[in-house]
Amino acid sequence: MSEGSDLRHSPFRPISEFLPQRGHFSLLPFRFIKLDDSRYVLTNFAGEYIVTDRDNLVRFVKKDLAPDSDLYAQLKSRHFLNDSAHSVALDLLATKYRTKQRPLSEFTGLHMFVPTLRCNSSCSYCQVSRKSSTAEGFDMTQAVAERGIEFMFSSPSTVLKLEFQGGEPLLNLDIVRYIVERTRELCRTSGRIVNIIICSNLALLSDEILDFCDRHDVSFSTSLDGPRELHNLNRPSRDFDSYERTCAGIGRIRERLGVERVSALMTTTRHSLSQPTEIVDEYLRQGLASIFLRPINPYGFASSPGTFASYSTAEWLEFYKKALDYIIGLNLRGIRIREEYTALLLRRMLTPFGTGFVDLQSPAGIGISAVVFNHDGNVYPSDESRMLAEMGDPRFCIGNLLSDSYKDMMLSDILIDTISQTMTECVPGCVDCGFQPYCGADPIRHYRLQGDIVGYKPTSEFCQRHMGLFRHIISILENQDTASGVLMNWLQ
Amino acid sequence: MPSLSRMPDGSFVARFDRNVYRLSAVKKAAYKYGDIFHVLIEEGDSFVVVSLGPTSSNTDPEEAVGRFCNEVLDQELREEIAAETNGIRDLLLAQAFSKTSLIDSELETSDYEQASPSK
Repeated sequence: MSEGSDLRHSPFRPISEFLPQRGHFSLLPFRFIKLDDSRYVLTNFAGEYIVTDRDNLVRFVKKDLAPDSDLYAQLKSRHFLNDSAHSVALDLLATKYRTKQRPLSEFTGLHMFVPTLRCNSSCSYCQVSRKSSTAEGFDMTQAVAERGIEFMFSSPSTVLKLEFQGGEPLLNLDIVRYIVERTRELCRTSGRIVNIIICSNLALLSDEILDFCDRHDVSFSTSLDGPRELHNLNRPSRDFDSYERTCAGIGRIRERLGVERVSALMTTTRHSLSQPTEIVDEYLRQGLASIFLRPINPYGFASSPGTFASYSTAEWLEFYKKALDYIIGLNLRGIRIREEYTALLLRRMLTPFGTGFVDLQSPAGIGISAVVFNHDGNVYPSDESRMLAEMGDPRFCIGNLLSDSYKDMMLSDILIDTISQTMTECVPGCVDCGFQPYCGADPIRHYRLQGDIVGYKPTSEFCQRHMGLFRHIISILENQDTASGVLMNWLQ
Repeated sequence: MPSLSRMPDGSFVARFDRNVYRLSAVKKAAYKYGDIFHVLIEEGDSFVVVSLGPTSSNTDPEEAVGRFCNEVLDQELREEIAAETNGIRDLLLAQAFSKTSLIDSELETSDYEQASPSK
């Protein structure tokens, strides 16, 4: 090109010539919420987030943002604004949204069987109102089990999960065996994949049971609340040392079936609050590389004074933060251990993939993500609704395996009516919340605590807890230091 | 800023200029503060008048009233975003769950090889 020629149409113009004109963009749908005193979290339609201050947020909404600023570039690349005539950004955004909602099309994956309501532990916080180990009339029959299996294989989900809950499932070993063997038989003929897990205190574990679980590819989930004294205080038994049996069981499963075949979770009581590091250390002592820090649920015996109401959401969050800090510190020293609920929230926040976790779905995951077959054949759309029924309120029961069809139960008024009121995209308090893409609806919990399935969010314990969790996790990620690196590793 | 007065009974009255604040923004802020204030909203010609009576759980009403006013400001910003983006949000939702492209129907039916400039 000769000197002095017209540069107006040249591809070699300065980069500023290619920038859109100031204010020439349209907003794409997004929400925002305060992160702390000075920062806001902005989340787009597909759940990607950006943190900025209020001045920049206002500048963005008022279209007064410099096109060559870093924030403009971030907002554009993460689909908060569109300054192009092309529809590519919209197509991408719609695709990301569809990917996040994919678990909906899978429908029910988790099927929980309650082989018995009898239990050999006397946990102070038992949420299912267990019966004594010798009580009669609380065991599942073969007829109920058979109908439950039929129901499970009626689900369109490509991968099914069969979970034995209790009571203590191993107290009705015959029916556990029947369900497992029958399921594996149907897997062979139908080609379906079913992951099977027994939730047990492991007190009754035997070589015979381990052999059976090895043959049929069955895993275990157990409760370990912390060091011996704390565990036995929370989960006492008249007949045996609860801590001793659980730890021995974890060891036997790891040795016989492999380290991946047993996982544990803890329930926080007021006695746990002062021991976050001791609890994590106990998990390491047992060779467990993951821990699930879980607050107490307001059902069954846990709803009595002195358990659920014995600490506030703020106190639990303080406990969680201390434990998480300690876990991150361990990872930085090369000791691998992961907090599972944080990892689950991170997947929701940082990946385009949805998670099937029942409590964090919109619409609510009840029935859609999980169903429970009680020992008496009654079917509930979540474990919490079963717990509520055991407390005398069977409102959410969707039918009985012996008298109702799959279709009748999954299309029952109580299930459809409840689910239709739980789209957080449009319920008060959630519709504009910046954390909406990461959160979900828990209608049973809100009904239990506030008498309303939607709930009043400003006083909702569920809302306060999750707001606290999201704010804490985003604050760590925003520091972009070694701690955020540990959290990013948990996505792998 | 909205005008704010403290009443002899300990409650507060805030007046929001309707040229600046939408009624819906005031309502959404009132919902959020319903646990610490008894809220009464009246719609006038020029102002939305909000009476805020502290509940027993409100330990610092004066500070909370300030936060309430800032919340109305945030809610107004949200209303502004919604007014501009609700149409595109509905289109995105329809596109996400549709089997055909609603955003660019020509692309959906056109032939890839014909559309390619190199062919």
